Amino acid sequence: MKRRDFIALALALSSSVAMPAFAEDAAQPYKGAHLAVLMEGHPTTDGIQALLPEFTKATGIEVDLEVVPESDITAKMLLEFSSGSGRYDVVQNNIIYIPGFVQAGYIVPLDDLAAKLPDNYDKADFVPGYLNTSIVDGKLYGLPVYGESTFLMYRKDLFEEYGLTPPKTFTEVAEAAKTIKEKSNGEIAGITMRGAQGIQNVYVWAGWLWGYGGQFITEDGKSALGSDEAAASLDAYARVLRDYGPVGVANFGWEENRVLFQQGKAGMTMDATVNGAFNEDPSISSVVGKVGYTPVPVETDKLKGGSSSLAVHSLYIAEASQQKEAAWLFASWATAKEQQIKSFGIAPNSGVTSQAALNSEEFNKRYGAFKDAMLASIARGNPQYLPTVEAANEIINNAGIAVSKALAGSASAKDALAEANAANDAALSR
Amino acid sequence: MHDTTRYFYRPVVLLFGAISAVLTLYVVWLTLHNISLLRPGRESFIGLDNYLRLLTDGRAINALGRTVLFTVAATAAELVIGLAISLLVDRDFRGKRIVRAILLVPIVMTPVVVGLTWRFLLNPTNGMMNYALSIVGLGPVDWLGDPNVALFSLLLADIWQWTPFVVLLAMASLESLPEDPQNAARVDGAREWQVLWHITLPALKRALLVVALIRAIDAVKAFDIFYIMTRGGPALSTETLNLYGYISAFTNFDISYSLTIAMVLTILTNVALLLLYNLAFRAPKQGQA
Amino acid sequence: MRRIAFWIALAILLLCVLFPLYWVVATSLKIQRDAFAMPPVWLFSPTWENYAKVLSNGVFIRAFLNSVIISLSASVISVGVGALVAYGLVAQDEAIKRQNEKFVLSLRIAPPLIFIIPTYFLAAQMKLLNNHWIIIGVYAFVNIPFAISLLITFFEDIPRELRDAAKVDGAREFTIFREIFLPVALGGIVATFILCVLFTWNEFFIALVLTGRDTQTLPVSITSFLTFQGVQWGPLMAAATLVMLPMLVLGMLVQGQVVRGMSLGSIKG
Repeated sequence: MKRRDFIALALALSSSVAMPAFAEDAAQPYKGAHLAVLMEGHPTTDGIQALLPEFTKATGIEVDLEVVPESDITAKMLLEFSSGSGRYDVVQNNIIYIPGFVQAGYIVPLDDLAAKLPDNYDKADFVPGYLNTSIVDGKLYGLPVYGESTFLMYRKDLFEEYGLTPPKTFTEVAEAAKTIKEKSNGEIAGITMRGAQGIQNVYVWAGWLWGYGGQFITEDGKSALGSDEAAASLDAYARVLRDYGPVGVANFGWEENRVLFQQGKAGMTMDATVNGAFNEDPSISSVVGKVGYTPVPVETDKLKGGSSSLAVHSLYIAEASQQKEAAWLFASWATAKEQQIKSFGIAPNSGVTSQAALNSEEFNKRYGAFKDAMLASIARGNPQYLPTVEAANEIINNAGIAVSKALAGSASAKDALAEANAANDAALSR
Repeated sequence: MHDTTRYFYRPVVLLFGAISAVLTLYVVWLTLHNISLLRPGRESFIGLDNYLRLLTDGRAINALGRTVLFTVAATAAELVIGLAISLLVDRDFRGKRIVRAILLVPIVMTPVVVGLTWRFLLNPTNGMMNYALSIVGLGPVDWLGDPNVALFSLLLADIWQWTPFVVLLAMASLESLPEDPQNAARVDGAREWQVLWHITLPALKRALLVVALIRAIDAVKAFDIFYIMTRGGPALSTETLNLYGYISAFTNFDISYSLTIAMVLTILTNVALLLLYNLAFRAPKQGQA
Repeated sequence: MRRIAFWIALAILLLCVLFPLYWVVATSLKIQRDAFAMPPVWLFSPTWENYAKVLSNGVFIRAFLNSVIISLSASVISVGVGALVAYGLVAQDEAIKRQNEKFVLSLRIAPPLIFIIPTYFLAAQMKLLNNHWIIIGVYAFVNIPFAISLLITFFEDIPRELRDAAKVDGAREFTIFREIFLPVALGGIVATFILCVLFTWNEFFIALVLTGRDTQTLPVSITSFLTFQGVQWGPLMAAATLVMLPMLVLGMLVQGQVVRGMSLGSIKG
């Protein structure tokens, strides 16, 4: 145990055991502070919420945790940020928003706070790939709450039965999907993926885009969705879902997709690594032990970036917050290894950002089935997987429309992307 | 002495006038800038650029087309079905009061719940609609996932909720009609459909026009079931202008453009209403005078 | 023959109207497995499990209280102000009355987006967000025109002689309003109030933008249910039932007035 951890532990203990009043005040310099925190509806949030009483007990800081769906959280915090209301002290969001938030002056660097109040903060314990995504111009802006990559999940039992091997290219994915659908007489969908318009379908299609050698934005800041690679990737994505996907896939979000696969109604899916935790949970899944995990395929050697995502969601401290030190205490506590390890028992959570948690026995016991594939995907994860510019939200929205149109067959992949390309160029130049 | 009554209404009416004037000016001022939540402190005056952008924005023009389609289709369907049902129940029978009460149920139901209900019924794999179709050997239909169908699925939910409103209003009007002209026509040997076409419907015309106007205004503004059931997807097939305005503000954070859309929608709605209103009421009134 | 056809048609009509409602309530009483079973489960032993889940959810309870507080307060203000204005207008000449009524009603044609965003910015500058009063004020603003025009119809039913007689006795206008109009039109006032509550309770768009964590109303809160628990239709339908049930009861209480009231302009979306 490191020295400062020992001190922290001693302080925490001392405040929970009856101690003279002055000692309590000394241990709780921020007693009475009242923090407002905005977080995503996600298993890690459930864990933090359940552990909150311990934080309040140790520090005397009250925390109001507001939980909203990921799809609404950006609008929510932007409205507050832009009005300068100071309503939220700590917010959580995907790291793709950091550049925009930093440029707008909405969030503050954390280095000084970390130096002043280092008790919960162990820089070396964070997965380096995760922490690095929260650093802009050498300054730390966020503490990673959860991180994940994407991989291909396939039914080992079906693959064996039908003589298939795990696909390495998207062409092989389509072939395997065809085989599964045909050999199961249409009972089992060849593949299922998120198709719902917006961040849902873009998050998954982006793997195809990069895997075909495409990208969202060129090095000189222009939209790159008009490329042949992009069109080929969207065409392939849409075709495999249309021909071998489940009914209703055009409205599938993360949840619908996950549940369908978990119920054994699809042969493959491509999604976040956290889905592994759900597949291997016997209380909700009927495919425990039957799922194989392998990195997201690639179609070419000439990649502009990896086809596996690197999605990191971090906690930020708002510029308008009047109690940044208490806010830092909360953020560093919520992301510390102790809490991450405890959270395993609360909700399915394979997205831990602490190396200690990642290497814990508990993690291996629960998520051993896909741990290696997950680490491999993270290692080659592409931090530029989704665009990380100011107008990211609008660009994702436009791309989502194109994906949705191609999937529905109401426009060809090339035409749909040409439209999105023009809209994205307009957004980038605005 | 007599005039103290005006102090009861003038302050409130003036306040309402003032608030709307201030808000309108504020909105116009906002639409002449490029305010984005992502670019605080970097907004500038851009004149009519937002309005020009809207004119050439294919997505907006398609959304306008969809708004018109949805409004016309919803209003027409609700009017026709509602009228048919009201003619059916326009007679004395046991339980009429109960039928009337039941018809009230969809009207008072929370629209968000209506959206959820239909989303549930229209679920492609586990929904009742596809189950019912499968019994007669049809389907499955991807109600909310197929861009050629989704707008009609929303229409279905809107028709379910608001046709009863037309029925109840038409029932009330039918009951207040004098029966003599109808009976006289029947005595003269007119067939039922002739009585309906030449006597009953013309007498109902005014009431039906009022209902149509109310339904049309609401259909233009429809938001709840769209937000719950499709959020404009798939492939934009259910994005109305109202929804596009919402998305511009809360997904793209483009406040000025969003208000430009809202402004244009308001102007178009008012112009359309004025035209319809004059068409519907001015002419017959002059005829009567 | 015609009679049979009539009853069959009526039965089909009622089935179409009531089945969706029945299915919501039935699903809310099923266990998770039955809720999504295909073919559907028609006979099942009801469980309160879903309701227990919803009612133990602090967010839902808080939203319920918010909805009660906001819709009652906004409706009290709407009816109070509306009654005063309606009283003043009923005493005016027909032309003035119609002109004013038309003006306030015309404000409601605009889509809410156009006044919600500016209101949001103004409220933010005044640090009034996440405050019950801002949303109550907006709902009052939206409902007052409706209350005015509905109350005018009730006040018009009061014989002019009552008012004239009181004036001859030297009563002041406010006394006439309080002592004569309010008691005589009490039924209409209560109906107006209930309709205001109904509109406010059901309203979604304004609440979606203008409410925060502490002021979120039920229709907004239920959408977060939807996203978290996407496929848990059981608890979702239980929540939906709890949201709409009070309105069904209120709607039945003022049956005769609902359609009359809504013709004067509904505030949905």
